[in-house]
Amino acid sequence: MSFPQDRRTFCSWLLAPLVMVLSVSGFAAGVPAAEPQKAVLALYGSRPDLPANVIVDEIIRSTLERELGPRLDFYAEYIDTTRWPEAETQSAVHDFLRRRYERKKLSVIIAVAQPAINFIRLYGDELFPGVPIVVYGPLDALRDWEPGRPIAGMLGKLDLVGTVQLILRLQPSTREILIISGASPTDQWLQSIARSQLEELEKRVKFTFLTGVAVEDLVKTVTQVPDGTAILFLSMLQDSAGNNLLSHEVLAHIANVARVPVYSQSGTNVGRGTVGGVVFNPESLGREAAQLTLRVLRGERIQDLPVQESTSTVPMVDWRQLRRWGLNEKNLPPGSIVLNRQPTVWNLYKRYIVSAVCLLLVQTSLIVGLLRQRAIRRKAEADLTLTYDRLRLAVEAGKAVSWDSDAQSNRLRWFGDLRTMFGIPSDAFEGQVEDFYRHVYPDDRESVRSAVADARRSHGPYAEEFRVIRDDQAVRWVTAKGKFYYKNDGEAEQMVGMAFDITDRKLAEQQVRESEDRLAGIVGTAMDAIIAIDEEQRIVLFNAAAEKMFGCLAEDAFGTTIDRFIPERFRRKHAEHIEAFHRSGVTSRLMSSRGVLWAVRTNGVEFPIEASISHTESDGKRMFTVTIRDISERLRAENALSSIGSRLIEAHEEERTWIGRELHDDINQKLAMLAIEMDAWKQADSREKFSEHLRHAKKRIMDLSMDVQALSHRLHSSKLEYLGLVVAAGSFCKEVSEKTKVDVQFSHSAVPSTMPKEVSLCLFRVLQEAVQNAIKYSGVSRFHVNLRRTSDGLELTVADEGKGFVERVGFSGHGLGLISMRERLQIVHGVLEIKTKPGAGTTIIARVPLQSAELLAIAG
Amino acid sequence: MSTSSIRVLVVDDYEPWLNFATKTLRGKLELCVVGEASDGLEAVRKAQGLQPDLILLDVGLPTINGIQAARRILQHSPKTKILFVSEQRSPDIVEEALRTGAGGYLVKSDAASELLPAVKALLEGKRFLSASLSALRSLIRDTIFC
Repeated sequence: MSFPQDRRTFCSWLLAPLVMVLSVSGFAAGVPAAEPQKAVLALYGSRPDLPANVIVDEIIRSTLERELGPRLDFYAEYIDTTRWPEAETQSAVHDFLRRRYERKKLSVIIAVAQPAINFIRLYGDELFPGVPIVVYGPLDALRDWEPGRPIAGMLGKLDLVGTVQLILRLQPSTREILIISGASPTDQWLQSIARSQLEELEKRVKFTFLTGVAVEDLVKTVTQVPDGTAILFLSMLQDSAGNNLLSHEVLAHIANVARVPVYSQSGTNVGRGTVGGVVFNPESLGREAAQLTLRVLRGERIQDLPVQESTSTVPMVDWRQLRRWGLNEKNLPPGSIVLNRQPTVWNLYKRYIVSAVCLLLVQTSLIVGLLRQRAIRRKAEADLTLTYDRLRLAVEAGKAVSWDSDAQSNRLRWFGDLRTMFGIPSDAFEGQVEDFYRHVYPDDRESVRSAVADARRSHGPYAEEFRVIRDDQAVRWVTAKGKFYYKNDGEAEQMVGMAFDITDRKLAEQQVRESEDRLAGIVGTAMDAIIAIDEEQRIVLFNAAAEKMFGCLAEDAFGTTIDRFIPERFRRKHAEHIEAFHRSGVTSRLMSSRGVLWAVRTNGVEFPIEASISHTESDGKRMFTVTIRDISERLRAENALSSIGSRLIEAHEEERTWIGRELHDDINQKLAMLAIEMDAWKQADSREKFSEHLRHAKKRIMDLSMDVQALSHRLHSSKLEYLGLVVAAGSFCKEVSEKTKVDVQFSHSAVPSTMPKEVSLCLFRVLQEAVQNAIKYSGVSRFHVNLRRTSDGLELTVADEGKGFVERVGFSGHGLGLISMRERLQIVHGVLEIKTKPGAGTTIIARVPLQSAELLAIAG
Repeated sequence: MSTSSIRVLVVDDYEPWLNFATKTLRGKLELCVVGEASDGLEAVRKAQGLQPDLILLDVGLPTINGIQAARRILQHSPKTKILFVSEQRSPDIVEEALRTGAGGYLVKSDAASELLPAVKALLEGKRFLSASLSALRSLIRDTIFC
């Protein structure tokens, strides 16, 4: 079977990185693949199943393998002099090793423990010439080594003194220490070192050596030892009967049954039933020896490498045994290693606890944080609710509506006083933006849309005043303010704003405006001068009538004091009156109650006035308003009127006198004469004579009738009554012309044949007066009288080209003349116009309005 | 024109004149005074109601004067003969009175001698003007007497 081409390619592609990784890994180890293997021989002096050998072998092998990898070619040999102490056996071992390794090019030999070191010392140069030697063993192992012979090594101290001192610290009451050892050379070697080292402590404690005792005996012994005894187990590879033993198994058995604590100087024995001791730690020592071996393998000369004393000999105890024997851990020397301590929950689950605590802390922090967040959120929600309530109350109290709209979907939300503004019976509404525009007054929609579009485009604020139509068709005024919110890309996202109902304000403004307009109209068109002054008596208001009255433009009057319009002699008094008026608390007063006041025009002419004053106070500032009326004309009229009264009485008396005289001196005389003549009729002697008297009497009576008619005509024109104004006026002019020889030319046009009696009488009397005046004062022999109909009434004109007169004098003259004419005309709502000046003739024009209906009736 | 049962209305606000006129006309020329009135409007109303053949009408009357009353009466009763009887001698008044269509103008002072002749003249279809006014005849437009 063969892979298709593409599949092979695929496999190559998969394998290529793996090959690369492996290649890189080999390169990274720094060992070229071509470099030859390093052959290392570890030579042990005792059997391979001793725990110390197992531990040391494992440590050395693993350390070297870690560095050399596949280039390590490791060998281990066990000469086991304990079980094969015979010289023949050792010779055979010698031969065996020679034959076995004579073709091996060893890079280094590691001699472990005293028997192996002795073997190398005796046979090393022969069997392994030139091969560097690294030794591992107790400090006394090189005691017989020849000085100058190259060697490197790591030696551990056998500190039996330290171990005994440890016993005494833990068990101060110890009086005797049983020291157990075997019968093998190694056991004895150790015992000899013990005897040597412990000699110094024999005064402190009794040492009893049990050497090579059978295990059964040892068991009996240790189970019966008295209190105050401790056991120090050195080693027991062989008992006295020659039985080979595994030292650590014997120890474990003894320690298990002993009734006192058992100690040992070997680190491998800690954990097998002994309390411990100052031990030499095979693990540390093996690791140090392996490092020294590596230095040799890296090419360092053996002569340059040291023989070092390991620092790995330390007090080491089994925590379980301390507990078993009730030994106080506090009595251990500083730096002691306690093994097999039953781990506390903390030790057992430290990571979990730490993790759990951390997790708990994290959770607690999170919970606290969440609680805090919740509290903050709740507070924020409460604040928000409060703020919302405040806002809602403010919105409703202020007749306002808040809104927000989605710029994308055009969704719209309102809340607030919707009833007032839109007539919606709710405080919330959701709809579309077009719902809003439907409520906007049609004329205002375009401007509102434009304002919204401007705000959206310019990113600026939106503000607009406009009208809305409620559902009940009532129109309300609204002012709205808002703004757009935008996304990061600048696109409008939302619009938020607030609208207030300002209808009341608008109405108030409109009323104020109308009121101001009315006031301005009143002030502007007032016939009286109105001047307002401030506390410093500076003029702040000066109406048109004031301009005319004082001959001063308002702009020239503003800011100046009112003193300029008061005659100098009255100014001080005026200021005092103003102040007194203010203090009085009265808001208005007639100023001229104490008599006629006087003002002065800008041309210096003084004139009498009537004035009233009022004051107002606003923001603590006083304002006085003075209303002034020029009473020059009125005073003149009053003066004229006062003289008219007497002249009217005089006129009445004159008229009565004339009538009386006419009746008495003329008619009555004629009647008297007639009566006298009738008396004479008695003497008539014939019928013809009597008839003659009668005809004469009738004629006299008819003459009297004519006289009475003339008198009546003077008092009351019957022609006016029977024939109308035109006939009466023409007749009158004709009669006057005939009587005075002054040519009074009468003309008329379109005068209605009938008109109100009071109008015709008024115009006839004015005509009589004007004609009489013209005859009397003009000095001309001809003048004109015209009576015509105008668009709105009747107009009588009496015009002469005579002397003329000063108008004022004409009114104040001795006759009733002009005044009576004016008074008569006023009764029929007419006016009198006089155009005259001395030497330029006089034209008197009397105009009487007629109501349209009257004219139409008359015309019809 | 028959002279029997000629109905006469006398209008004047001076009662002695009413008595004089009624007394003067009674039994003369088949005249019969059918009514009296003392103001202008009353005269118009009675003229419409009584439809007299002849009316003796004063110029000076309350409410509306005689000239105005004559215009109204003749507007409704154009066949009625009207004789103004007044002491007014003004040519303007006489002319205006006759312009109304009245048949004659009699000066009251001449009534004793001219009333019946004036009535007769009118009943005969003639026009009448007091002799004392003859001096004014030139002042009165001729058309009135055509």
